[in-house]
Amino acid sequence: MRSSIRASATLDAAAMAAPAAHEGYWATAWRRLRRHRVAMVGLAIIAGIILLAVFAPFISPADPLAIDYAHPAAPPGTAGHVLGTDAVGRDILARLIYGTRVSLQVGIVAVGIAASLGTSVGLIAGYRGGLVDNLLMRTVDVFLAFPVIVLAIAIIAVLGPDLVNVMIAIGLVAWTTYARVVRGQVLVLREQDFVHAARAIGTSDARIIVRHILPNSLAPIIVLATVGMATAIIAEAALSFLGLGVQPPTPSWGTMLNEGRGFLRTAPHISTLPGLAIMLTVLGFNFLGDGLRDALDPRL
Amino acid sequence: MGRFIVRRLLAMIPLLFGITLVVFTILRLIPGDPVVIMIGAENTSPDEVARLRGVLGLDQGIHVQYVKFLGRLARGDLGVSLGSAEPVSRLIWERLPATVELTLAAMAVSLAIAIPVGVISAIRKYSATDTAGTVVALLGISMPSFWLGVMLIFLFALRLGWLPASGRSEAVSAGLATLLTTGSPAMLITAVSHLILPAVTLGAGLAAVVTRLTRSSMLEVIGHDFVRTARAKGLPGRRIILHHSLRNALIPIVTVIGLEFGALLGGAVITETIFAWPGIGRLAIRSIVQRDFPVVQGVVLMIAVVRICANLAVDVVYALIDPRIRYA
Repeated sequence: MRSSIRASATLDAAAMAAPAAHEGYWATAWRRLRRHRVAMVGLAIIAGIILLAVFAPFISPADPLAIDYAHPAAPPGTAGHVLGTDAVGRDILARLIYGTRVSLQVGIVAVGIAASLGTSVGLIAGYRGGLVDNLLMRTVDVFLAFPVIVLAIAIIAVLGPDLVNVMIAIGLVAWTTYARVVRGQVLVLREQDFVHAARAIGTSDARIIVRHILPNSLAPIIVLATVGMATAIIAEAALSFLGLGVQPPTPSWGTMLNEGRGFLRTAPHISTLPGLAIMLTVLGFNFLGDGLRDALDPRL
Repeated sequence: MGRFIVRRLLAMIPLLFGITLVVFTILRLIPGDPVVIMIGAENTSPDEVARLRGVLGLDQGIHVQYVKFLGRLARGDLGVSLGSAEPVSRLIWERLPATVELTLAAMAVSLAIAIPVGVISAIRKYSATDTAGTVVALLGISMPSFWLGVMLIFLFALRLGWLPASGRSEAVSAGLATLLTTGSPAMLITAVSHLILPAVTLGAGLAAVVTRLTRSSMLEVIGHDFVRTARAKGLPGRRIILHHSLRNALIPIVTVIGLEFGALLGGAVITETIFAWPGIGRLAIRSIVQRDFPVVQGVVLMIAVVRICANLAVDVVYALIDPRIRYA
C-alpha cells in the first residue's frame, strides 16, 4: 500500500482520467490488474455468473421447478434438455442457471456480514489497543479454534437450516480473518504522521478511524472479500450437500449434488454438473483474488 | 524449552475457557425449552416439565449452569444423548479412533503427493511438470471435497469396482496387528481398501495447498548462499536437495500442516458423511438431524480441543526443528 494520504476511498473521475504520471492509487491498481491475465480470466468468469444470475428468467430454457414426467434422469443431449434432467425430471441447465442466484446471494451477504463485523472489530482493537484489543483478539482466537465448517454446522443446528441462516452462519464464522488483518494494518497506520496530524488538529477518534484509517486499510479487505466469496460459496454448497443449507426444491448447487448421489450408477451427470459449476465459480473468485493481491499490494 | 511449553500450556487456559463458553452458549441459544425439545411437545404436562427442569438444573441461573457445566466437563462428563440416553463421552470415544485414522491417512496421502511434486516443481521451475503441477493444485484448491468424493465413488467403486464405496471394516492398526501375529494380510487389505477413497477425498485440498507451499518455500531456500556453497563443494545434487534445501524448506510447511490439521478434522465431518465412515463427524451430522444437542455440543467441543492441542504440538515441533525459534 502507498503510504501517502488518501482522505477518501471513493474513486473520483478526475483521478481516473489523469495522465499516468499522476494517476491515483486505484487507477494504478486497475492498470496492473488489467495486465494480470489470470485475474482477467477470473473476472470474465465472475461477470458471466453475474449475468446468468441477473437474467436467469430470460436465459433459462425452462422453469427450474417444472417437472418433465416423461423424462426423469434423462442424460445430457436429450431433446428439450441440453444438460439432461434430474431424478424427478427437472431441467438441469435451468437449475444450474438459477443456482447462480443462491451462490452469489450467499456469497455477497455472508462476505458482507463477515467483512463489516471483522473490519469493525479490527479497527477498534487496533486503534484502542490495551485491554479492549486484548479482549477482542482473544475472542478471535476462540473463534479460530473451531474449524470453519464445524462452527457453521453448530450455528445451523441452533438456527435451523434455511437460506438466510446459512448466510448468517457463514458470515459469523468468517469474520475473524478480517479482524486480524485489519488490526495489523491499523497498528501501523495509527503511528503515521497524517494520523498524528489529524489528531493534533482535534479530529475525533471516530472520524480518524472512518476517514483516515479505514480507507487506507481497504486493499487487504478487498482481497480477503474476493477470496472470501469463493470460501462462502463452497461452504454453502457443503452445508446444502449435508442437508443443512438451502432446502429443496430451491436449486442450490450443493443440494443438487446431494440429490444426484443416489443415481450415480444410472445418471452420474446429476451430481457431476453442479460440482463443475461450483468449481468454475470458485476458480473465478480465486483467480481474481490472486490478481487483486498482486495489483493492490505486492507485499500481501 | 520446558519453560516454553509451560508458557504455551498456560496460554491455552483462557482459550479453553472461551471455547467452553461458546459451546455452552450455543446450546442455550436454541429456541424453545430444552425440556420440551427433549421429550417432545405432545407429551408435556407442566408437572413433568417442571420436574425435568429440576433434574437437569435448568431452573438455576445461567451462571450457575455454566459453572456446573464446567465442573462436569472437568470430570469428562459431557452429558447424555437425548436420543439413546448413552453418555456423550462414550459415543465420542467409540468413534474418535475412526476419525483420527481417517485424518492421519488423509494427511499421509496429501504429504506423499504434495512434497515430491512441490520439490520437483521448484527444481524444474517453469517446466511442463511445474505448469501441470500448478494447474492441478489450483484446481484442487477450488474443488469442493464432497464433489471429489462423489466422483471417486462413481469411478473407483461403481464403474471400476476396485474399491468399496462406503463404510469401514476394521481399524488399519488391527489389520496390521493380525498380519504381524498370524501372517494373514486379508484383514489389513480390507481395512486399507475402505480407507483409500475417504483419505484421498479429505487429503486432496491439503495436498494442493502443501504443493504450492513446498514449491515456493523450496524456491526461496534454493536461492540462499549455503545452497550455492554446497554446490560449489561438489556435493551431489540429490544431497543438496534433500539435506540442505528440503530440510530448511520444511519449516513453514510444518506450520501449515499443523494449522490444517484442524481444518482436516472439520473436513472429516463432510467426508465421513459421504463415505458412511463411522467417526465423530457423522455422529455430529446425525445428531443435528435428530436435534440431539448434547451430542452436537460434545463433538464441537472435542474437535476444538483437539485442534488447539495440535497447534500446541506444532509450536513445540517448530521450536525443535528450528533452533532460532524460542519465542522469548
